[in-house]
Amino acid sequence: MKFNIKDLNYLTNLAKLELTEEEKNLYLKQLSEIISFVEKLQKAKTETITFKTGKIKNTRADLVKATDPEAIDGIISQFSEKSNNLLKTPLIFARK
Amino acid sequence: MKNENLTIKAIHEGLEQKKFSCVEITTEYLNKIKNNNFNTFITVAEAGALAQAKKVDQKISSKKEIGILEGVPIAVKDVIMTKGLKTTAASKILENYTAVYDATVIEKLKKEGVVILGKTNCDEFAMGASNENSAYGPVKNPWDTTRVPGGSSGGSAAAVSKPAAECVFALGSDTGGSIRQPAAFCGVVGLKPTYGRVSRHGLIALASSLDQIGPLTKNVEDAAIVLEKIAGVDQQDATTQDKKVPEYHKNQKLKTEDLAIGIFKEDFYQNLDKEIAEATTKTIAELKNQKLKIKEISLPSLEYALPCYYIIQPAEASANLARYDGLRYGKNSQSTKNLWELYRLNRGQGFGAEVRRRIIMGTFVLSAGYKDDYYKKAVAVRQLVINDFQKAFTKVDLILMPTTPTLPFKLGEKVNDPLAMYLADIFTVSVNIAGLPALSLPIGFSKQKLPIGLQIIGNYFEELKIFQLARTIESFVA
Repeated sequence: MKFNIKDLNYLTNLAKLELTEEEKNLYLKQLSEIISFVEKLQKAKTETITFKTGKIKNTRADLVKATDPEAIDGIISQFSEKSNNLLKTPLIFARK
Repeated sequence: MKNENLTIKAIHEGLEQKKFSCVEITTEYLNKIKNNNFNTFITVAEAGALAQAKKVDQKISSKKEIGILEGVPIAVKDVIMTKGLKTTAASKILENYTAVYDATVIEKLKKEGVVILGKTNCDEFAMGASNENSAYGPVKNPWDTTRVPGGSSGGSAAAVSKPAAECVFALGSDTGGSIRQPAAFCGVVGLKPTYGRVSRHGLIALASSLDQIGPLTKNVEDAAIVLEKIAGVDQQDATTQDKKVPEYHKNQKLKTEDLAIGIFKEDFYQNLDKEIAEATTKTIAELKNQKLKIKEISLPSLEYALPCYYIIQPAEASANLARYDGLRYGKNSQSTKNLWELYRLNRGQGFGAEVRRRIIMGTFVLSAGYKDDYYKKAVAVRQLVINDFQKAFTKVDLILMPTTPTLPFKLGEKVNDPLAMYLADIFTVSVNIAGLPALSLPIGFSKQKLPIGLQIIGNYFEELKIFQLARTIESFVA
């Protein structure tokens, strides 16, 4: 499959990644090569493959476990911007 | 006191017999880390290491018995959570993150009384085969500093290697060869345990169905000792299995003559470096001399293992790395209009080139219109690989294969060619796809004095057999 700039823009939007024009040009070339390489898989005969799911043995009862207060403080103390122990972020919805 | 060859047992005996104190030996390793120039560590935990060493010395002074790992100076790959220490995954996006809890493996090792010297450099989020993808600079191979140490656990392997001697053993993680390939490039032993043998709780996830934590050590016995201490079921990781952990460290009752070893036909080695092919053939010939049963096997689906891996792994990585928004521990000083734009900037600038490449690739193979042709096909091929291995294990107990197709390559040689870099994993990825255990051990050196590794692959939870054969090979290679 030929990978084009429209595909790349669509994917970087989905993956929330800002790229420079230079990076986009480089990734177009490299990702096209990688996609051509993995397309080798289409030759593999998998029509007869069936999937078995094993018995799940490692289940346990739900446990309510309080988070270690030291861990909570440890996380909050690392926030780069905070307000009353809450993480401060830019606006989620832009104002008109 | 020279620490180059000190194994776990040598440290243990040295401490017990008071040949050196734990503070002395810890200081020696810390000095090595400071004075060497291999860029193996991202964080050195000097104060914590010396405090733990003092505790061990006090225990010895009060004539209390110490455990086999008590006072043993170790290093931990920077993708494993260590409470109170920076844990960056070698990424800018986590450069200010200090772990607030210990991974299960760290909890277990701390209970054993190890001395944690620090966190080792690696490829960013464990993505790479040369350690050149670290935001903190590449690790240099201590055998030849113009060459790569392998990756992604390059810092861990280099720190254990003889010319560096910066710790007794190290922990790494292996998603497609990230313990075994650097072990081969640095001349150390590296074990990737069976999927589900060791808890992944507290391991920064790359690809959750492939990742496994394991040891990098100076010899096979040390790998067995460490595995015994870190293995076992864990409620925090539902993929761990409740199987008894054998006494891996003991000399095995198995006779090597009872083991049937699978090897590949010679044409398998066509694209292999000549010196690696020669060393592998020589080792197999010696095993034949020792009356081991050697059988030729074939794994037809092996040619699909690498493309299969480079679909499944980025797919899982793109999902696992969706959680990083750079808001909590990143710089977060961007003036942006809204949250969406901030995400794009933080992730675009916080992740390195290879990580972004794999996130885009993973997003592609999982996207509407392509997931059947790529992701679902790869999942079916994964089953083919599993079936082929299971068929082979009806005929043989263990499989021998080179760990790497080439000797350690030059720094910068493949960094701009991702596909060439991916090919460095060609012999290791199939093991992760199938969830099998495998160990790489040194079997010699090239003419240029570069280490050569050999890989032993076992069936599920048969690490004991792997250790048995590895000890046999180690005895005649040494």
